[in-house]
Amino acid sequence: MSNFEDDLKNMFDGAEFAPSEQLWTGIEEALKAKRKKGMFFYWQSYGVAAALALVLTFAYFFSKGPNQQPEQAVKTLTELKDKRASGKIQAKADSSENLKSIEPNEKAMASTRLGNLGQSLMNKKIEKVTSDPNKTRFVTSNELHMADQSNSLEEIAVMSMELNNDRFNPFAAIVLPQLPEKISIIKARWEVKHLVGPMEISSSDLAPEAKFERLLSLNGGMGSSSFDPNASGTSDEFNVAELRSFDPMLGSSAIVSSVKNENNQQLGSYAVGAGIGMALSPSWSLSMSLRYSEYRFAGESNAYSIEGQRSLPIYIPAGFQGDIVIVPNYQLTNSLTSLALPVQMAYKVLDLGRFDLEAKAGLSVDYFLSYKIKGDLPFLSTRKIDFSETSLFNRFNLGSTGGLGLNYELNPQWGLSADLFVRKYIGGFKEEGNFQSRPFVYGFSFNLRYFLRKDNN
Amino acid sequence: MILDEQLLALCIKNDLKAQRMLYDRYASKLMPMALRYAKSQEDAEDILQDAFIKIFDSLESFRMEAQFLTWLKRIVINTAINHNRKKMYQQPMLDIEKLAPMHVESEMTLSNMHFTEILAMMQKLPVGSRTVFNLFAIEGYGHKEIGEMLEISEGTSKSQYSRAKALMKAMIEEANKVVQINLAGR
Repeated sequence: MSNFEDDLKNMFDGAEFAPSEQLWTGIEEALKAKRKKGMFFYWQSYGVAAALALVLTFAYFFSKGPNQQPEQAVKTLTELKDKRASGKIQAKADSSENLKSIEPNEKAMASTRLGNLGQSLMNKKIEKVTSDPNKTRFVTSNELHMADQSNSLEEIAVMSMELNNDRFNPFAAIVLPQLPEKISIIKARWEVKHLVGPMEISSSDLAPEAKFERLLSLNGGMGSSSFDPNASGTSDEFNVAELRSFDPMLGSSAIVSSVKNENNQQLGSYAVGAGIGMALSPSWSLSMSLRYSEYRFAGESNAYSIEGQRSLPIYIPAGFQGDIVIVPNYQLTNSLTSLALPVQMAYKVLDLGRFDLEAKAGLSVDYFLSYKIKGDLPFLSTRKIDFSETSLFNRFNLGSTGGLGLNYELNPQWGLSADLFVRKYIGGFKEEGNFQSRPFVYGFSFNLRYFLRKDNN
Repeated sequence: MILDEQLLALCIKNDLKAQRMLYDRYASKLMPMALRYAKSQEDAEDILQDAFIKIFDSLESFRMEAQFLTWLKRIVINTAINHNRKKMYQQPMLDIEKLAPMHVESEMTLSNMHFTEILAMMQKLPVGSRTVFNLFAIEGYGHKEIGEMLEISEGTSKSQYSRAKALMKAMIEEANKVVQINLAGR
């Protein structure tokens, strides 16, 4: 390198030249365009995921639904015919075949009733509930399904029959070594009078009260909820804290800057819980659960405080102190953990057999375990709020709660439920301070239920 | 004043105000560099715009242990090279054997000159020579490295530099003459 190159380097070392204002305009437009593109792909991904989840959910339910069952029943029927032909009728027989075996009048009558129902067949469980040698009582598990030619299904009420074996046995036409514990009957609506002559039907069995079981269920599940702090005094004018500096010349304080919190928004958060439910009547039930939740809500701040040796984010309603540093807006995340004890009454507004829909309402006691505020600047520490020093949130809160619950009974022991709920804190035990929060929570949860059944009979 | 680290953290979050702040802090420092590689101010601003978009895109990959300004300059240089490369294909650089030898016998003096005058001269150089001249004389790269960066031979880099230096000498001497005449005329 000669002096020339060194001189050149020195000449440009530290040189500055202001570009025109149009340069930033071009950069800004390019950045905004990229952000929009990014957002599009972000929401597109979520949209695809949601659509996929929806399709899979529908596929799951329809694959388990009744449309496939007629095929299974027809298959069973074919197998039975083959077995009958080879003289290998087993104890478990298909009731549709049984009906076809009722000779000759029963079959004719059944055919008359079933003539417009097509060949759609469906297995339904009938449980043998008594071992009385003379009387065998059959109870359908919940209901019978009826099919018409369009293959749509209609569900009818629970049917309970008490039959005298001596006078009527719909399965008598085929030779059974013993009556099976569980057998299938044809999917159709039939009227008993068309199938049999004399028979006994216990009227008490047909009464709705007879179906009621004192059901105790253990529930456990998880979900997500949104938490709106809904703090009083956090309207726009209160989300700004003015920073004043004393001016000795003027002899008064002047506003030098202001701390702002903007764009408050709820974030999804998780919750887990377990509880117990008790059926009080066919329509009413009582439930109680213990629920652990982590609530989150976000916002923006334009300042942080230096307290001791630490730099801490500022969320004005939660309080701050120390030296204030104003910075470009950054993201704040408020996290609260809580234990809630909701006690609710539920009323069954819709009963579709295995599905039922309940409306719920009750009270909830909440206890906040912790409250943390985190800023997304890497040098900021997490601010941990001492509940005894802030008036924003009460540690104990009483709230009203309500919602809807969709229940599905998988089998006599297990069930699933999906709940939508809202909870509004209606008061606390502390009212002083500039800010007071009346949180509002809404969300959903999925639960697995285990039934402890106690039959009234 | 907000520190670079804080500013970077906000820029990574796509905070437009922070991005503007970073731009304001460094644009005028990077502009002379873009001007050196460009043929005009408009051309330089095109380079700088592309460079800033790359900077904001790749801020996450920046490690604080490195000098931030050095990292920014490297991005501007790479952007400028890519920008000029397209033009270099249209005006291919010749190998040393095909060029008439150009020697710079006397040393050039830059003491009376402002960097904007040198910039104006550099912008008159052919695009290939200008790029090589910048990389060798100011950025300090060797001819081998320059050859790899521009996908030319080491010899071509040398010849292009030699040519650029001779042209710069001629322009500087011309400028100095004008200065002397002006001084004599007073």
